[in-house]
Amino acid sequence: MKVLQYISIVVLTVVIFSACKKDEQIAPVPGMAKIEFNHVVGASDLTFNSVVYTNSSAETFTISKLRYYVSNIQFTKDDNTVFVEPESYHLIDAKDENTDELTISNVPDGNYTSITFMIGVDSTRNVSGAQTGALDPLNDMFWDWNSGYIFFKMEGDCDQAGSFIYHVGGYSGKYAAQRMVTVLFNGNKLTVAEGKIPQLLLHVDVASFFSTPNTISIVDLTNSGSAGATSSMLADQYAGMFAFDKIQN
Amino acid sequence: MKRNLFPLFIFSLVFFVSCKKDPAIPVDQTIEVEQPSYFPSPVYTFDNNTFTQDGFELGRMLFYDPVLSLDSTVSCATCHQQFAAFSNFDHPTSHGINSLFGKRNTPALYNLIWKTNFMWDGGVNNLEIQPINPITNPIEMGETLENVLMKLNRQKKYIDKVKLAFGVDSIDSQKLLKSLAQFMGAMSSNNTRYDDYLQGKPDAFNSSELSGLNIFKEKCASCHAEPLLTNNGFVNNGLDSIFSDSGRQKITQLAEDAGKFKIPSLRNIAVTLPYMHDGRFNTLEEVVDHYSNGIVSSTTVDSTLPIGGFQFSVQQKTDLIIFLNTLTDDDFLHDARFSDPAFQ
Repeated sequence: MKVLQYISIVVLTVVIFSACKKDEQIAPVPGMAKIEFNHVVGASDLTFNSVVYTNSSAETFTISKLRYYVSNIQFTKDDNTVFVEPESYHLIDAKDENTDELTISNVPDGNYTSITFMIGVDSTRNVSGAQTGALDPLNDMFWDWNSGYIFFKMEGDCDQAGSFIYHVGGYSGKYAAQRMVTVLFNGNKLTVAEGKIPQLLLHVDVASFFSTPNTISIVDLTNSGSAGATSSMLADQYAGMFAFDKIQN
Repeated sequence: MKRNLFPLFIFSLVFFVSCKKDPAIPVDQTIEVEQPSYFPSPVYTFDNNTFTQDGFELGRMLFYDPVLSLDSTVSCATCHQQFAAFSNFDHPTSHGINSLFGKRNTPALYNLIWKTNFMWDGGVNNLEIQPINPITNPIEMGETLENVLMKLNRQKKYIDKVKLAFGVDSIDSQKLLKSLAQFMGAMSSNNTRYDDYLQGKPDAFNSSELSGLNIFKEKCASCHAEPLLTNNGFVNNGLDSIFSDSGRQKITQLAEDAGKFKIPSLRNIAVTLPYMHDGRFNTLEEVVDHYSNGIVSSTTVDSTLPIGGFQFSVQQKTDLIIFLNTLTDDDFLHDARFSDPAFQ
């Protein structure tokens, strides 16, 4: 009888320990990385409303709003493997410090050499009905009358033209306004490892929006409010706003 | 003794039967989404919006509640009346808040899960998204989603219902829109004499109706495709030579879409007057006259429509209208499950 008791205790102990071990193995190592979007106008930090900037058309302007969707984020490693963030939808509001830094979780350990993301929202989520989180229509980044997300909003005032409003979207067809952006880390590596939260800093340059690839004159274009040719052209402008700044491992 | 009880038994039976028919007794409110076998596969599948009785009922409460409007004067049902197949009876355009009028005719609501897009210009791409438009349009309900949610979440009946429907403690925009999609998505209309005909029931149609159906198949069904009686496309049906409303072009920004509008289903057409995107025709006679003699030329008029019209004979017009009158689904127009829950 006693032997049987001993055996029971031993078996029970083994079961408990092995169960513990398994749990530890299953739990993922939560590799993390941060991406910070620093909004600038040329060499200056972007300050809303009060600071007057000059664009490549020699127009003077202030910025009152800058919001955009960053989605489908991917990191590429030095061995060319790719990490794709699941459910990757983020609304960046340049005015809101809580949104201009993203924390990406469950990133596998390794040295990453570039990031790729979409400015805008993929067509699937544009046609899939009521969404929540970053894609909630409450976020004021949605066209209801011609349904689809507004990918990018920039608003401001121009001394030569008055107020300007650039709302850009359009998820399908020849005027689709999503743009894939890849930023290389210029030989630097973002090192994801246990106990570390490396940080990628990107510059988002309003001056570039007005100059590259097309020169945008606010006098000539004060308003974009729907999907179409103008939206698609402005999408080419925002595709070039994102540049590598530095990495803090 | 036994013989004496027999009349009582009969009386009880009569009493019970009459009880059953008494309209004061609540009717069965159980709902499921009807999908007739001869309909195509639906566009909206409920895959991401599990259909439940409570979800449907939450949507029904919302549909009939004027709290969705800025000043609590306009509900969805104000302009979507059940007896008119959820169109706005006898209104070319509808009253919003502050007696403001829109510029397009209120569409009927039924068989919505088979539609590829919504609105006369097709601008809305998903059944769940549609309600944002009337709620936030300044000349319809004039509200914001934020305000609507705040007002709803103050009411116990909504808190209780969203708990039952979705297992959450408050209504967010997604639950608001998904429950409305459940209510509206369940509005299947398929119980007409035309459906009897489609299912091969003998003598479903008399000779006049059959004659009307044949004219319909020849002249109308390329756009009003059977059995839904729409192909979900957009055409310019020759109403105007110059467009006061550019229609589909507003959405696509393509010149070729100027003056084109959604092809509506013709189910329940006899009760959804007035007709066309601006409600310009009051009767089916006027509509048939337009296709017979009124088609005008323009840059985008549909190539299947002869300029000047089909030149129907008087008999053809009569038969066509007789056929159109077989498309009314009385059961749907009076289905208690789609009626105002406040009156039950």
